[in-house]
Amino acid sequence: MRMFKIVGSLLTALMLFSSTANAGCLLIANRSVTEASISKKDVKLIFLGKKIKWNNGMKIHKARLLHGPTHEQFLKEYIQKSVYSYASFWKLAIVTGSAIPPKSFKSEKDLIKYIAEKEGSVGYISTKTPHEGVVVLPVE
Amino acid sequence: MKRRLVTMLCVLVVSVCMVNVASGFDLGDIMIHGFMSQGYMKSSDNNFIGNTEEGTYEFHEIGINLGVPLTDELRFGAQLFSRDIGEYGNNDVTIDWAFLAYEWKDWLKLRLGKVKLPYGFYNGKRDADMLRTSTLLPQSVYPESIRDFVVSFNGVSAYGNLDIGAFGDLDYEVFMGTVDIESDNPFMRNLLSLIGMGLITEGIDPIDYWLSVGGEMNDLDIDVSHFEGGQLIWNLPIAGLRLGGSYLQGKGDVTSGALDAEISLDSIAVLSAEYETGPFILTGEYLNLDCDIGLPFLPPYSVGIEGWYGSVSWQVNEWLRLGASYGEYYPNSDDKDGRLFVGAGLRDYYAWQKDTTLSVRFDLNDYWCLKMETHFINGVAQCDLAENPGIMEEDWTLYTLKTSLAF
Repeated sequence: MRMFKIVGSLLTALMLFSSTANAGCLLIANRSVTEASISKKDVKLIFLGKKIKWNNGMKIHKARLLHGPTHEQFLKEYIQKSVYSYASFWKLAIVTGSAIPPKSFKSEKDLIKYIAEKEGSVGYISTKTPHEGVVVLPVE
Repeated sequence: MKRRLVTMLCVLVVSVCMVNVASGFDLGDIMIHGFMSQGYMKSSDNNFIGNTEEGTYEFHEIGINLGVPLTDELRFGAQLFSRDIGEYGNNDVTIDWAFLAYEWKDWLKLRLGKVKLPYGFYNGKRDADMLRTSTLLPQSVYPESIRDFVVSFNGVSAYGNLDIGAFGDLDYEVFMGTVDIESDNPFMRNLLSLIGMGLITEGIDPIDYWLSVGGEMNDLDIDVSHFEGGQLIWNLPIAGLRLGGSYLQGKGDVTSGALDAEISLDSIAVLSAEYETGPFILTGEYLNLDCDIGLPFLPPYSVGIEGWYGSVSWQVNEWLRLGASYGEYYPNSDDKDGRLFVGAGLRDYYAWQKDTTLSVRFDLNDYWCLKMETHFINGVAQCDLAENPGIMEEDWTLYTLKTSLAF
Protein backbone atom coordinates (compact mmCIF):
# COMPACT_ATOMS: atom_id res chain seq x y z
CA MET A 1 0.00 0.00 0.00
CA ARG A 2 2.84 2.36 0.91
CA MET A 3 4.48 1.71 -2.46
CA PHE A 4 1.20 2.67 -4.24
CA LYS A 5 1.10 5.95 -2.29
CA ILE A 6 4.70 6.78 -3.28
CA VAL A 7 4.08 5.95 -6.97
CA GLY A 8 0.79 7.88 -6.84
CA SER A 9 2.53 10.93 -5.34
CA LEU A 10 5.29 10.76 -7.96
CA LEU A 11 2.77 10.53 -10.82
CA THR A 12 0.79 13.47 -9.40
CA ALA A 13 3.98 15.52 -9.08
CA LEU A 14 4.95 14.61 -12.65
CA MET A 15 1.51 15.61 -13.98
CA LEU A 16 1.65 18.89 -12.11
CA PHE A 17 5.13 19.56 -13.45
CA SER A 18 4.02 18.74 -17.01
CA SER A 19 0.95 20.96 -16.82
CA THR A 20 3.06 23.82 -15.47
CA ALA A 21 5.57 23.40 -18.30
CA ASN A 22 2.81 23.37 -20.94
CA ALA A 23 1.04 26.34 -19.44
CA GLY A 24 4.13 28.55 -19.70
CA CYS A 25 2.73 31.13 -22.09
CA LEU A 26 -0.59 32.67 -22.88
CA LEU A 27 -1.79 34.14 -26.17
CA ILE A 28 -3.42 37.54 -25.71
CA ALA A 29 -5.15 39.83 -28.19
CA ASN A 30 -6.71 43.26 -28.46
CA ARG A 31 -10.40 43.41 -27.58
CA SER A 32 -11.21 44.10 -31.27
CA VAL A 33 -10.20 40.52 -32.17
CA THR A 34 -13.41 38.52 -32.49
CA GLU A 35 -11.94 35.02 -32.85
CA ALA A 36 -13.19 32.73 -30.08
CA SER A 37 -10.09 30.57 -30.41
CA ILE A 38 -7.16 29.97 -32.74
CA SER A 39 -5.40 26.87 -34.07
CA LYS A 40 -1.77 26.11 -33.20
CA LYS A 41 -0.98 26.18 -36.91
CA ASP A 42 -2.43 29.68 -37.30
CA VAL A 43 -0.34 30.90 -34.36
CA LYS A 44 2.75 29.70 -36.22
CA LEU A 45 1.64 31.28 -39.52
CA ILE A 46 0.89 34.61 -37.79
CA PHE A 47 4.26 34.83 -36.05
CA LEU A 48 6.07 33.88 -39.28
CA GLY A 49 4.25 36.69 -41.11
CA LYS A 50 2.33 34.37 -43.41
CA LYS A 51 -1.15 34.90 -41.98
CA ILE A 52 -1.78 38.64 -42.10
CA LYS A 53 -5.51 39.02 -41.50
CA TRP A 54 -8.08 37.83 -38.97
CA ASN A 55 -11.17 36.01 -40.24
CA ASN A 56 -13.16 39.28 -40.27
CA GLY A 57 -10.56 40.90 -42.58
CA MET A 58 -8.88 43.03 -39.91
CA LYS A 59 -5.10 43.32 -40.21
CA ILE A 60 -3.07 41.31 -37.70
CA HIS A 61 -0.43 43.27 -35.76
CA LYS A 62 1.88 40.77 -34.07
CA ALA A 63 3.96 41.54 -30.99
CA ARG A 64 6.85 39.49 -29.60
CA LEU A 65 9.16 39.47 -26.63
CA LEU A 66 12.86 40.01 -27.34
CA HIS A 67 14.28 37.57 -24.78
CA GLY A 68 13.44 35.43 -21.80
CA PRO A 69 11.93 32.10 -20.81
CA THR A 70 8.40 33.00 -22.00
CA HIS A 71 9.78 33.83 -25.46
CA GLU A 72 11.77 30.57 -25.55
CA GLN A 73 8.75 28.57 -24.40
CA PHE A 74 6.55 30.20 -27.05
CA LEU A 75 9.01 29.48 -29.86
CA LYS A 76 9.44 25.90 -28.75
CA GLU A 77 5.74 25.21 -28.36
CA TYR A 78 4.28 27.06 -31.34
CA ILE A 79 6.95 27.99 -33.89
CA GLN A 80 9.33 25.03 -33.52
CA LYS A 81 12.34 27.26 -34.01
CA SER A 82 15.27 28.11 -31.78
CA VAL A 83 15.70 31.68 -30.50
CA TYR A 84 18.57 32.20 -32.95
CA SER A 85 16.69 30.69 -35.87
CA TYR A 86 13.59 32.83 -35.24
CA ALA A 87 15.66 36.01 -34.97
CA SER A 88 17.48 35.05 -38.17
CA PHE A 89 14.15 34.43 -39.95
CA TRP A 90 13.03 38.00 -39.28
CA LYS A 91 16.42 39.55 -40.06
CA LEU A 92 16.18 37.87 -43.46
CA ALA A 93 12.67 39.27 -43.94
CA ILE A 94 14.06 42.73 -43.15
CA VAL A 95 17.00 42.59 -45.59
CA THR A 96 14.79 41.26 -48.40
CA GLY A 97 11.71 43.34 -47.54
CA SER A 98 9.58 40.21 -47.72
CA ALA A 99 7.43 40.83 -44.62
CA ILE A 100 6.94 43.18 -41.68
CA PRO A 101 8.51 41.79 -38.50
CA PRO A 102 6.59 41.63 -35.22
CA LYS A 103 6.81 44.61 -32.90
CA SER A 104 9.45 43.70 -30.30
CA PHE A 105 9.22 44.37 -26.56
CA LYS A 106 11.74 43.88 -23.78
CA SER A 107 9.08 43.59 -21.07
CA GLU A 108 5.71 41.87 -20.87
CA LYS A 109 4.24 45.00 -19.31
CA ASP A 110 5.04 47.05 -22.44
CA LEU A 111 3.77 44.28 -24.68
CA ILE A 112 0.43 44.12 -22.81
CA LYS A 113 0.10 47.91 -23.06
CA TYR A 114 0.64 47.72 -26.84
CA ILE A 115 -1.87 44.88 -27.24
CA ALA A 116 -4.45 46.77 -25.19
CA GLU A 117 -4.11 49.84 -27.41
CA LYS A 118 -3.48 48.47 -30.91
CA GLU A 119 -6.48 47.20 -32.84
CA GLY A 120 -6.01 43.71 -34.31
CA SER A 121 -2.90 43.00 -32.27
CA VAL A 122 -1.82 39.67 -30.80
CA GLY A 123 1.09 38.63 -28.58
CA TYR A 124 2.13 36.27 -25.84
CA ILE A 125 2.98 36.55 -22.15
CA SER A 126 3.64 34.29 -19.20
CA THR A 127 0.56 32.69 -17.66
CA LYS A 128 1.59 34.25 -14.34
CA THR A 129 1.55 37.84 -15.64
CA PRO A 130 -1.56 39.92 -14.87
CA HIS A 131 -3.20 41.00 -18.13
CA GLU A 132 -5.92 43.58 -17.79
CA GLY A 133 -7.36 45.32 -20.85
CA VAL A 134 -6.70 42.43 -23.26
CA VAL A 135 -8.47 39.18 -24.13
CA VAL A 136 -7.00 35.71 -23.83
CA LEU A 137 -7.05 33.80 -27.10
CA PRO A 138 -7.44 30.07 -26.40
CA VAL A 139 -5.30 27.84 -28.64
CA GLU A 140 -7.02 24.70 -29.94
CA MET B 1 31.46 56.77 -56.24
CA LYS B 2 33.72 56.49 -53.21
CA ARG B 3 32.19 59.71 -51.90
CA ARG B 4 28.76 58.16 -52.10
CA LEU B 5 30.01 55.09 -50.25
CA VAL B 6 31.53 57.25 -47.53
CA THR B 7 28.23 59.14 -47.19
CA MET B 8 26.36 55.87 -46.88
CA LEU B 9 28.87 54.60 -44.35
CA CYS B 10 28.48 57.78 -42.28
CA VAL B 11 24.69 57.45 -42.33
CA LEU B 12 25.03 53.87 -41.14
CA VAL B 13 27.52 54.67 -38.38
CA VAL B 14 25.42 57.59 -37.14
CA SER B 15 22.38 55.35 -37.22
CA VAL B 16 24.15 52.70 -35.17
CA CYS B 17 25.31 55.28 -32.64
CA MET B 18 21.91 56.91 -32.30
CA VAL B 19 19.70 53.90 -31.84
CA ASN B 20 19.45 50.63 -30.04
CA VAL B 21 21.68 48.75 -32.45
CA ALA B 22 20.00 45.42 -31.94
CA SER B 23 16.63 46.55 -33.19
CA GLY B 24 17.31 49.41 -35.60
CA PHE B 25 15.25 52.57 -35.98
CA ASP B 26 11.62 52.09 -35.12
CA LEU B 27 9.82 55.38 -35.71
CA GLY B 28 6.31 54.19 -34.98
CA ASP B 29 5.50 51.96 -37.92
CA ILE B 30 8.45 53.14 -40.04
CA MET B 31 11.49 50.89 -39.82
CA ILE B 32 15.10 51.56 -40.73
CA HIS B 33 17.66 48.78 -40.51
CA GLY B 34 21.14 48.21 -41.84
CA PHE B 35 24.16 45.96 -41.94
CA MET B 36 27.84 46.08 -42.80
CA SER B 37 30.69 43.60 -42.94
CA GLN B 38 34.42 43.54 -43.63
CA GLY B 39 36.41 40.45 -44.46
CA TYR B 40 39.77 39.17 -45.61
CA MET B 41 40.46 36.34 -48.08
CA LYS B 42 43.70 34.47 -48.67
CA SER B 43 44.34 31.42 -50.82
CA SER B 44 47.30 29.04 -50.86
CA ASP B 45 47.24 29.07 -54.69
CA ASN B 46 45.02 30.46 -57.47
CA ASN B 47 43.06 33.70 -57.40
CA PHE B 48 39.42 33.30 -56.48
CA ILE B 49 37.05 36.30 -56.87
CA GLY B 50 39.95 38.72 -56.53
CA ASN B 51 43.62 38.72 -55.71
CA THR B 52 43.39 36.09 -52.98
CA GLU B 53 46.80 34.57 -53.61
CA GLU B 54 48.35 37.72 -52.14
CA GLY B 55 45.44 38.21 -49.75
CA THR B 56 42.68 40.75 -50.19
CA TYR B 57 40.50 43.01 -48.06
CA GLU B 58 38.17 43.54 -51.05
CA PHE B 59 35.50 41.61 -49.25
CA HIS B 60 32.87 43.88 -47.72
CA GLU B 61 29.21 44.86 -47.92
CA ILE B 62 27.07 47.63 -46.55
CA GLY B 63 23.31 48.08 -46.78
CA ILE B 64 20.58 50.23 -45.30
CA ASN B 65 16.87 49.65 -45.73
CA LEU B 66 13.59 51.37 -45.06
CA GLY B 67 10.08 49.98 -44.59
CA VAL B 68 7.02 52.24 -44.59
CA PRO B 69 3.43 51.00 -44.20
CA LEU B 70 1.21 53.29 -46.29
CA THR B 71 -2.15 51.70 -45.43
CA ASP B 72 -3.18 48.41 -43.79
CA GLU B 73 -2.64 46.65 -47.10
CA LEU B 74 -0.03 48.75 -48.90
CA ARG B 75 3.60 49.25 -47.93
CA PHE B 76 6.78 50.58 -49.47
CA GLY B 77 10.28 49.28 -48.93
CA ALA B 78 13.74 49.95 -50.36
CA GLN B 79 17.35 49.01 -49.70
CA LEU B 80 20.53 50.78 -50.75
CA PHE B 81 23.46 48.44 -51.09
CA SER B 82 27.15 48.62 -51.85
CA ARG B 83 29.79 45.90 -51.92
CA ASP B 84 33.28 45.11 -53.03
CA ILE B 85 34.26 41.51 -53.50
CA GLY B 86 37.22 41.16 -55.80
CA GLU B 87 36.24 42.46 -59.22
CA TYR B 88 32.54 42.59 -58.27
CA GLY B 89 30.73 45.62 -56.91
CA ASN B 90 33.63 48.07 -56.53
CA ASN B 91 31.71 49.98 -53.85
CA ASP B 92 29.11 51.26 -56.31
CA VAL B 93 25.93 52.15 -54.44
CA THR B 94 22.95 50.41 -56.00
CA ILE B 95 19.25 50.06 -55.28
CA ASP B 96 19.18 46.45 -54.15
CA TRP B 97 15.40 46.35 -54.01
CA ALA B 98 12.63 48.94 -53.98
CA PHE B 99 8.98 48.02 -54.32
CA LEU B 100 5.37 48.59 -53.39
CA ALA B 101 3.71 45.58 -51.77
CA TYR B 102 -0.03 45.12 -51.76
CA GLU B 103 -1.03 42.52 -49.15
CA TRP B 104 -4.59 41.60 -50.03
CA LYS B 105 -5.05 38.12 -48.55
CA ASP B 106 -2.86 35.51 -46.87
CA TRP B 107 -2.83 33.61 -50.17
CA LEU B 108 -2.39 36.58 -52.52
CA LYS B 109 0.01 39.47 -52.16
CA LEU B 110 1.68 41.50 -54.90
CA ARG B 111 4.99 43.32 -55.28
CA LEU B 112 5.75 45.86 -57.96
CA GLY B 113 9.19 47.35 -58.59
CA LYS B 114 12.68 45.96 -58.09
CA VAL B 115 12.23 42.73 -56.16
CA LYS B 116 14.58 40.09 -54.75
CA LEU B 117 14.57 37.03 -57.00
CA PRO B 118 13.22 33.78 -55.54
CA TYR B 119 16.19 31.50 -56.20
CA GLY B 120 16.97 28.62 -53.80
CA PHE B 121 16.42 28.96 -50.07
CA TYR B 122 19.25 31.40 -49.40
CA ASN B 123 19.47 33.88 -52.27
CA GLY B 124 18.17 36.55 -49.89
CA LYS B 125 21.09 35.86 -47.53
CA ARG B 126 23.69 36.45 -50.26
CA ASP B 127 24.58 39.95 -49.18
CA ALA B 128 23.66 39.78 -45.50
CA ASP B 129 26.58 37.98 -43.96
CA MET B 130 25.11 38.24 -40.45
CA LEU B 131 22.38 35.76 -41.35
CA ARG B 132 24.48 32.69 -42.00
CA THR B 133 27.15 30.55 -40.40
CA SER B 134 29.49 30.62 -43.41
CA THR B 135 31.29 33.64 -44.84
CA LEU B 136 30.58 32.57 -48.42
CA LEU B 137 27.34 30.93 -49.52
CA PRO B 138 27.99 27.51 -51.10
CA GLN B 139 29.47 28.53 -54.44
CA SER B 140 28.26 25.35 -56.16
CA VAL B 141 24.66 26.65 -56.10
CA TYR B 142 25.18 30.38 -55.46
CA PRO B 143 28.16 31.18 -57.72
CA GLU B 144 29.31 34.79 -57.58
CA SER B 145 29.66 34.64 -61.39
CA ILE B 146 25.88 34.73 -61.90
CA ARG B 147 24.96 36.79 -58.81
CA ASP B 148 24.07 39.97 -60.68
CA PHE B 149 21.75 38.00 -62.93
CA VAL B 150 19.82 36.27 -60.15
CA VAL B 151 19.88 38.78 -57.29
CA SER B 152 16.77 40.82 -58.20
CA PHE B 153 14.49 41.67 -61.12
CA ASN B 154 12.38 44.61 -62.26
CA GLY B 155 8.76 43.64 -62.61
CA VAL B 156 5.87 42.20 -60.69
CA SER B 157 5.46 39.18 -58.45
CA ALA B 158 2.52 37.45 -56.79
CA TYR B 159 3.13 35.48 -53.63
CA GLY B 160 1.38 34.05 -50.62
CA ASN B 161 0.77 31.14 -48.32
CA LEU B 162 -1.68 28.29 -48.89
CA ASP B 163 -2.92 26.12 -46.03
CA ILE B 164 -3.09 22.48 -47.15
CA GLY B 165 -4.52 21.09 -43.93
CA ALA B 166 -2.83 18.00 -42.54
CA PHE B 167 -0.13 18.23 -45.23
CA GLY B 168 1.27 21.50 -43.87
CA ASP B 169 1.35 24.71 -45.91
CA LEU B 170 2.82 26.06 -49.13
CA ASP B 171 4.69 29.31 -49.79
CA TYR B 172 4.62 30.31 -53.44
CA GLU B 173 5.89 33.16 -55.59
CA VAL B 174 5.56 33.71 -59.33
CA PHE B 175 7.11 36.64 -61.15
CA MET B 176 7.72 38.24 -64.52
CA GLY B 177 9.93 41.11 -65.54
CA THR B 178 13.42 41.83 -66.75
CA VAL B 179 16.98 42.22 -65.48
CA ASP B 180 19.29 45.19 -65.98
CA ILE B 181 22.93 44.25 -66.52
CA GLU B 182 25.41 47.05 -67.19
CA SER B 183 27.88 46.36 -69.99
CA ASP B 184 30.85 46.80 -67.60
CA ASN B 185 29.47 44.26 -65.12
CA PRO B 186 31.85 41.29 -64.66
CA PHE B 187 28.84 39.06 -65.35
CA MET B 188 29.28 39.98 -69.02
CA ARG B 189 32.79 38.51 -69.04
CA ASN B 190 31.41 35.39 -67.40
CA LEU B 191 28.77 35.23 -70.11
CA LEU B 192 31.50 35.51 -72.73
CA SER B 193 33.34 32.61 -71.03
CA LEU B 194 30.13 30.59 -71.12
CA ILE B 195 29.74 31.26 -74.85
CA GLY B 196 33.43 30.47 -75.39
CA MET B 197 33.14 27.21 -73.51
CA GLY B 198 30.24 26.21 -75.72
CA LEU B 199 32.32 26.99 -78.83
CA ILE B 200 35.17 24.86 -77.49
CA THR B 201 32.65 22.05 -77.07
CA GLU B 202 31.86 22.41 -80.78
CA GLY B 203 35.57 22.24 -81.63
CA ILE B 204 35.74 25.94 -82.57
CA ASP B 205 38.39 28.39 -81.40
CA PRO B 206 36.24 31.00 -79.60
CA ILE B 207 38.47 34.04 -80.19
CA ASP B 208 38.98 33.35 -83.92
CA TYR B 209 35.26 32.82 -84.36
CA TRP B 210 34.26 35.90 -82.33
CA LEU B 211 36.49 38.20 -84.37
CA SER B 212 35.51 36.60 -87.70
CA VAL B 213 31.80 37.41 -87.17
CA GLY B 214 32.47 41.04 -86.19
CA GLY B 215 32.54 40.63 -82.42
CA GLU B 216 34.82 42.73 -80.22
CA MET B 217 36.57 41.32 -77.17
CA ASN B 218 35.95 44.29 -74.88
CA ASP B 219 32.50 45.26 -76.02
CA LEU B 220 29.60 43.14 -74.92
CA ASP B 221 26.04 44.12 -74.05
CA ILE B 222 22.94 42.17 -73.17
CA ASP B 223 19.31 43.16 -73.46
CA VAL B 224 17.04 40.82 -71.52
CA SER B 225 13.65 40.97 -73.23
CA HIS B 226 11.81 38.89 -70.65
CA PHE B 227 12.54 36.91 -67.52
CA GLU B 228 10.01 34.90 -65.52
CA GLY B 229 9.73 32.09 -63.03
CA GLY B 230 8.64 31.12 -59.59
CA GLN B 231 9.27 29.25 -56.41
CA LEU B 232 7.25 26.76 -54.38
CA ILE B 233 8.16 25.82 -50.81
CA TRP B 234 6.36 23.02 -49.02
CA ASN B 235 6.47 23.36 -45.22
CA LEU B 236 5.74 19.81 -44.17
CA PRO B 237 3.79 18.90 -41.03
CA ILE B 238 7.06 17.43 -39.70
CA ALA B 239 8.45 20.28 -37.57
CA GLY B 240 11.49 21.93 -39.13
CA LEU B 241 11.30 20.22 -42.54
CA ARG B 242 10.78 22.13 -45.77
CA LEU B 243 11.27 21.28 -49.43
CA GLY B 244 11.44 23.76 -52.29
CA GLY B 245 11.86 24.24 -55.99
CA SER B 246 12.74 27.39 -57.95
CA TYR B 247 12.51 27.79 -61.71
CA LEU B 248 13.56 30.73 -63.90
CA GLN B 249 13.65 31.25 -67.65
CA GLY B 250 14.18 34.12 -70.05
CA LYS B 251 15.44 35.42 -73.36
CA GLY B 252 17.89 38.09 -74.40
CA ASP B 253 20.02 39.53 -77.18
CA VAL B 254 23.78 39.76 -76.87
CA THR B 255 25.53 42.37 -79.00
CA SER B 256 29.24 42.89 -79.49
CA GLY B 257 30.50 45.16 -82.28
CA ALA B 258 28.67 43.97 -85.41
CA LEU B 259 27.73 40.67 -83.78
CA ASP B 260 24.16 40.00 -82.67
CA ALA B 261 23.47 36.72 -80.88
CA GLU B 262 20.34 35.37 -79.27
CA ILE B 263 20.54 33.72 -75.88
CA SER B 264 17.68 31.69 -74.57
CA LEU B 265 17.89 30.83 -70.91
CA ASP B 266 15.92 27.60 -71.02
CA SER B 267 15.97 27.10 -67.29
CA ILE B 268 17.66 27.78 -64.01
CA ALA B 269 16.26 25.17 -61.67
CA VAL B 270 17.14 24.86 -57.98
CA LEU B 271 15.86 22.07 -55.74
CA SER B 272 16.20 22.64 -52.00
CA ALA B 273 15.67 20.72 -48.77
CA GLU B 274 16.19 21.91 -45.20
CA TYR B 275 15.66 20.20 -41.87
CA GLU B 276 16.01 22.09 -38.62
CA THR B 277 16.05 20.08 -35.43
CA GLY B 278 17.14 21.60 -32.14
CA PRO B 279 20.50 23.33 -32.64
CA PHE B 280 21.13 21.63 -36.02
CA ILE B 281 20.20 22.77 -39.52
CA LEU B 282 20.79 20.29 -42.36
CA THR B 283 20.55 21.59 -45.92
CA GLY B 284 20.94 20.21 -49.43
CA GLU B 285 20.47 22.10 -52.72
CA TYR B 286 20.92 21.25 -56.40
CA LEU B 287 21.35 23.70 -59.32
CA ASN B 288 20.86 23.04 -63.01
CA LEU B 289 21.25 25.84 -65.57
CA ASP B 290 20.52 25.25 -69.27
CA CYS B 291 21.18 27.89 -71.86
CA ASP B 292 20.71 27.86 -75.67
CA ILE B 293 22.95 30.15 -77.69
CA GLY B 294 22.25 31.13 -81.32
CA LEU B 295 25.32 32.57 -83.08
CA PRO B 296 25.67 33.61 -86.74
CA PHE B 297 26.69 30.82 -89.14
CA LEU B 298 26.43 28.15 -86.44
CA PRO B 299 23.64 25.80 -85.45
CA PRO B 300 22.21 26.68 -82.00
CA TYR B 301 24.07 24.92 -79.21
CA SER B 302 23.52 24.43 -75.50
CA VAL B 303 25.64 24.94 -72.43
CA GLY B 304 24.75 23.70 -69.00
CA ILE B 305 25.95 24.36 -65.46
CA GLU B 306 25.38 21.88 -62.65
CA GLY B 307 26.11 22.12 -58.94
CA TRP B 308 25.02 20.76 -55.58
CA TYR B 309 25.97 20.86 -51.93
CA GLY B 310 25.09 19.46 -48.54
CA SER B 311 25.70 21.33 -45.30
CA VAL B 312 25.21 21.17 -41.57
CA SER B 313 25.15 24.01 -39.06
CA TRP B 314 25.33 23.49 -35.29
CA GLN B 315 24.45 26.16 -32.73
CA VAL B 316 26.72 24.94 -29.94
CA ASN B 317 25.69 27.64 -27.46
CA GLU B 318 24.60 31.30 -27.44
CA TRP B 319 27.88 32.57 -28.87
CA LEU B 320 29.35 29.70 -30.89
CA ARG B 321 28.17 28.14 -34.12
CA LEU B 322 29.96 25.57 -36.27
CA GLY B 323 29.32 24.70 -39.91
CA ALA B 324 30.52 22.20 -42.49
CA SER B 325 29.62 21.69 -46.12
CA TYR B 326 30.65 19.83 -49.24
CA GLY B 327 29.73 20.91 -52.76
CA GLU B 328 30.55 20.20 -56.40
CA TYR B 329 30.27 22.57 -59.35
CA TYR B 330 30.54 21.82 -63.09
CA PRO B 331 30.45 24.72 -65.61
CA ASN B 332 29.72 22.21 -68.39
CA SER B 333 27.52 19.37 -67.22
CA ASP B 334 28.37 17.39 -70.39
CA ASP B 335 32.06 17.45 -69.56
CA LYS B 336 32.37 16.51 -65.90
CA ASP B 337 35.65 14.64 -66.46
CA GLY B 338 37.31 17.54 -68.29
CA ARG B 339 38.19 15.84 -71.58
CA LEU B 340 37.23 18.98 -73.58
CA PHE B 341 39.55 21.09 -71.45
CA VAL B 342 42.37 18.63 -72.05
CA GLY B 343 41.57 18.88 -75.77
CA ALA B 344 41.85 22.69 -75.52
CA GLY B 345 45.32 22.42 -73.95
CA LEU B 346 44.20 22.89 -70.35
CA ARG B 347 43.97 20.42 -67.45
CA ASP B 348 41.01 18.18 -66.74
CA TYR B 349 40.46 19.75 -63.28
CA TYR B 350 39.40 23.02 -64.97
CA ALA B 351 36.07 21.23 -65.47
CA TRP B 352 35.07 21.03 -61.80
CA GLN B 353 35.36 22.60 -58.39
CA LYS B 354 34.85 20.42 -55.31
CA ASP B 355 34.78 22.36 -52.07
CA THR B 356 34.88 21.06 -48.48
CA THR B 357 34.25 23.93 -46.07
CA LEU B 358 34.58 24.27 -42.31
CA SER B 359 33.19 27.40 -40.61
CA VAL B 360 33.28 28.86 -37.11
CA ARG B 361 31.09 31.76 -36.02
CA PHE B 362 31.32 33.72 -32.77
CA ASP B 363 28.34 35.89 -31.82
CA LEU B 364 29.88 38.69 -29.79
CA ASN B 365 26.39 40.06 -29.06
CA ASP B 366 22.97 40.22 -30.76
CA TYR B 367 24.23 42.44 -33.55
CA TRP B 368 27.91 41.71 -34.02
CA CYS B 369 29.64 38.50 -35.11
CA LEU B 370 33.06 37.23 -36.16
CA LYS B 371 33.58 34.32 -38.55
CA MET B 372 36.45 32.16 -39.76
CA GLU B 373 36.30 29.69 -42.59
CA THR B 374 38.56 27.29 -44.49
CA HIS B 375 37.79 25.84 -47.92
CA PHE B 376 39.67 22.73 -49.04
CA ILE B 377 39.23 22.84 -52.81
CA ASN B 378 39.94 20.45 -55.64
CA GLY B 379 39.58 21.88 -59.17
CA VAL B 380 39.46 25.44 -60.48
CA ALA B 381 36.19 25.74 -62.41
CA GLN B 382 35.21 28.94 -60.57
CA CYS B 383 38.59 30.65 -60.86
CA ASP B 384 38.65 33.33 -63.54
CA LEU B 385 41.10 32.50 -66.37
CA ALA B 386 41.93 36.21 -66.75
CA GLU B 387 42.97 36.44 -63.07
CA ASN B 388 44.98 33.23 -63.33
CA PRO B 389 47.02 33.49 -66.56
CA GLY B 390 49.30 30.50 -65.85
CA ILE B 391 48.38 26.91 -65.19
CA MET B 392 46.46 26.78 -61.91
CA GLU B 393 47.01 24.36 -59.04
CA GLU B 394 44.53 21.48 -58.74
CA ASP B 395 44.40 21.31 -54.92
CA TRP B 396 44.31 24.56 -53.01
CA THR B 397 42.97 26.15 -49.86
CA LEU B 398 41.01 29.35 -49.30
CA TYR B 399 40.90 31.05 -45.88
CA THR B 400 38.37 33.73 -45.01
CA LEU B 401 37.88 35.94 -41.97
CA LYS B 402 34.92 38.28 -41.62
CA THR B 403 33.17 40.45 -39.09
CA SER B 404 29.61 41.72 -39.49
CA LEU B 405 27.29 44.16 -37.82
CA ALA B 406 23.52 44.40 -38.22
CA PHE B 407 20.93 46.62 -36.57
